[in-house]
Amino acid sequence: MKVDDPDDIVIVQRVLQGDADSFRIIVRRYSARLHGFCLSRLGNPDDAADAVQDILVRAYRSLGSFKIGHSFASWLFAIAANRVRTRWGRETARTERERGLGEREPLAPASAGPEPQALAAIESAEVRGAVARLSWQYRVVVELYYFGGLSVEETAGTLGLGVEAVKTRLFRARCLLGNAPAIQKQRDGHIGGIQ
Amino acid sequence: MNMNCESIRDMVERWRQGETPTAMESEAARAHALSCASCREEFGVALPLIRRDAEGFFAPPLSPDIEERVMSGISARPPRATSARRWVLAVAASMVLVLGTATGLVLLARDGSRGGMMEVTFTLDTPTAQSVALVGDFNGWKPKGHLLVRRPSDGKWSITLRLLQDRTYVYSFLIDGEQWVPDPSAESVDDGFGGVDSILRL
Repeated sequence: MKVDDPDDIVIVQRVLQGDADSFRIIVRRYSARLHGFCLSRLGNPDDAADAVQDILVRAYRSLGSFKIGHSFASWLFAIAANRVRTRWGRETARTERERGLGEREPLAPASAGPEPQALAAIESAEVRGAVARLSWQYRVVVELYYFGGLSVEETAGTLGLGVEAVKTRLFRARCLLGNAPAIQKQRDGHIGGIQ
Repeated sequence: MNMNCESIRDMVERWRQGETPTAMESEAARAHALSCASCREEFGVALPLIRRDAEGFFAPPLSPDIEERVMSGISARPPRATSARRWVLAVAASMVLVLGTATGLVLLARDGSRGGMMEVTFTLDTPTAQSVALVGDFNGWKPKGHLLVRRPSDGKWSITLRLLQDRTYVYSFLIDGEQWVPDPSAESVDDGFGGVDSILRL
């Protein structure tokens, strides 16, 4: 590990000892991943940025409750998962109803470059809609792993699951999300498909 | 590397069964899908997820001001000890106060009003502390904003401030720079972060 790249635990200890500015390293390290996770749930980049700010400030305030020796990423994303479900959940549900989540949108315009493609994919109502239709046990695993960029181990820590349980849920979620006919049935209102 | 509709279908099926496609396959599949409406229709959900598996995590762009937004939100107050720890301290302080022995929290306000100001003396009896700070909205929640002084007469920590009347203040004690203790003799309020602060109404 590089001297100027201390691990999370070292940073947490510095902050708890009064070096608040060290929290910048945490912000730089995790804000993009938190944004990916929040964007997958909220859909709107501005709302997602507000949620990232809210989550990181709350995490800072709660650093005293972090147990040294555990995964900081898992602890942080547990806060995130809780916040997007409570503080932001109702507003998101209302907004999604208004936007008509799940309506067909192109994956990306043909002229888009690689980065706009990826952004469009994550923002795509189609992708988010398909993930949102998964049952909760699959959905949250997919969001943390695919949109939050957590490892399987970090995802397991966030949800209090075993690593094998996360792998199993990801496997089943992939089976469902890669099954275009099932998604189409769900989209058209057929019984079955993604449950 | 070129891929066609059939090879993409094969790749997605292998991915569904647990195989991770190569980064080259993933890139080629996306390149094909951009010009193939049929593949976008059929694999529009799977391809972004395959990309994460095959090429690593790609974070969507985030406004660069997020760092300053977060830091400005946390600059006013340092992290707090867990609420459980602080409640233990508060309860312990209250109990000892009743017993009249080692530790107690007392808030005194005396009439010294001049021009809408009032002198308020904050006193804390905590013999083992090395430092005690009074931290609240009147000093921007700075940990060393108002340090109490140990009185030679009785060993209690004390500080007197002149505060505006007709105001409500929120505060807490910070012992040795790490232990937050609300005033058990004062009205309390949820700090919004799982802890409790004290309220002073003048």
